[in-house]
Amino acid sequence: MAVNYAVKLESVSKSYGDASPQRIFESVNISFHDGEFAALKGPIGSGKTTLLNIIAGFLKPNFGRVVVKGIDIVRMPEKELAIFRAKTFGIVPQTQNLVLELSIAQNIELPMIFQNIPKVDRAKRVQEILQRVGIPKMADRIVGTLSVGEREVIAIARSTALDPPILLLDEPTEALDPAMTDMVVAFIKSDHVLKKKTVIIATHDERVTKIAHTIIQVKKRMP
Amino acid sequence: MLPMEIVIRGLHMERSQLRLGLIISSMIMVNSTLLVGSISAPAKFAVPALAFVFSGLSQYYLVKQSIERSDRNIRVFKELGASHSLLLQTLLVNVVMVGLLGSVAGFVFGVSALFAMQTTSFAAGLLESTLLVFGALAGTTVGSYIGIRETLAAK
Repeated sequence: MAVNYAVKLESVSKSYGDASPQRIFESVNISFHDGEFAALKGPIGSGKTTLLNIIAGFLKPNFGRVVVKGIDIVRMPEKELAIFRAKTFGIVPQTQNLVLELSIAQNIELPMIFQNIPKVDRAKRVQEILQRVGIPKMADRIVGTLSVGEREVIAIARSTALDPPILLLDEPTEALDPAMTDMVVAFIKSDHVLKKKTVIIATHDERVTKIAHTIIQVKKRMP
Repeated sequence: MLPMEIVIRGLHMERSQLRLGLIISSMIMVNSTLLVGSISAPAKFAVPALAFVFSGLSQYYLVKQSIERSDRNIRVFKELGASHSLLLQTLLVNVVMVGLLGSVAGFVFGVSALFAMQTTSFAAGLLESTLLVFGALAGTTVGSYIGIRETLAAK
């Protein structure tokens, strides 16, 4: 049976700097199939975030192809890539990208506004997401007043707002206490995520790697 | 277009900043109207040009200062799929709406003062003041557009 790949990296090399380039990856080949839950595990500075950014198209590799859902995104024009990215990926970067001045509901609504989803549908979907993370009554709380852990849960919940097929999560449990980590793990393990989406997560949290289908060790390159 | 609440909060178009824009627009309009009423005919037509320049410059700096403070949120908006043109369009419409309100308020106030001082006829006063409103609004639009475009391009 043919395997459908959600993401395929072919001979990807990445280095930073021009004068004396620092090599991060050289000729990397990895593929993630549809519905796979893969954990990228490795020490700080090994390139996990770089790898996620290459997959999302925020960074261009120096060489190689990044094929997402059958499309090579490396040579895709920036405007087209932004639309493709919004529809394909739910992204939770290490530095949370929530708008602290807006409410929880407005933050979850944002990506839907940018995709011109009608207001009635947006409101319905916001409620569904809030129910799913177990905070239906907190919709109007301003995000800036939440704890770091609560914000992380909102960021992860928001990444599913457009129902993207692939989730890219960068150290989502790093700054969380055990209770919050349980909440995040439960969300990832939920049928809505684990049975329907490809999840690629950078982490060194055992509680997260334990539930992953695949663990990819990312090693730091020695200079 | 983004909802107003999201623009004001998310893009740091704070109400105080918007009010300042409104006051500046009004003041430019009042002073320009009074100036038109007190000078001779050929020079009157230079006043809308002055209103254009002053409105444009004040909006340019106001907008730049305001958007620069929302650096982080603009990046977030872009990451979430907001296009450059959507942000430009939304910010421009909101800022120009404020400029329009300020210009109209200043226009009404200035024309009232002009007629109270009886320095011009009704028809002439109306024509000159209308030219002024267009001058100030054009300045507001151009100044805002350049300010927003420059700031967004740098993000």
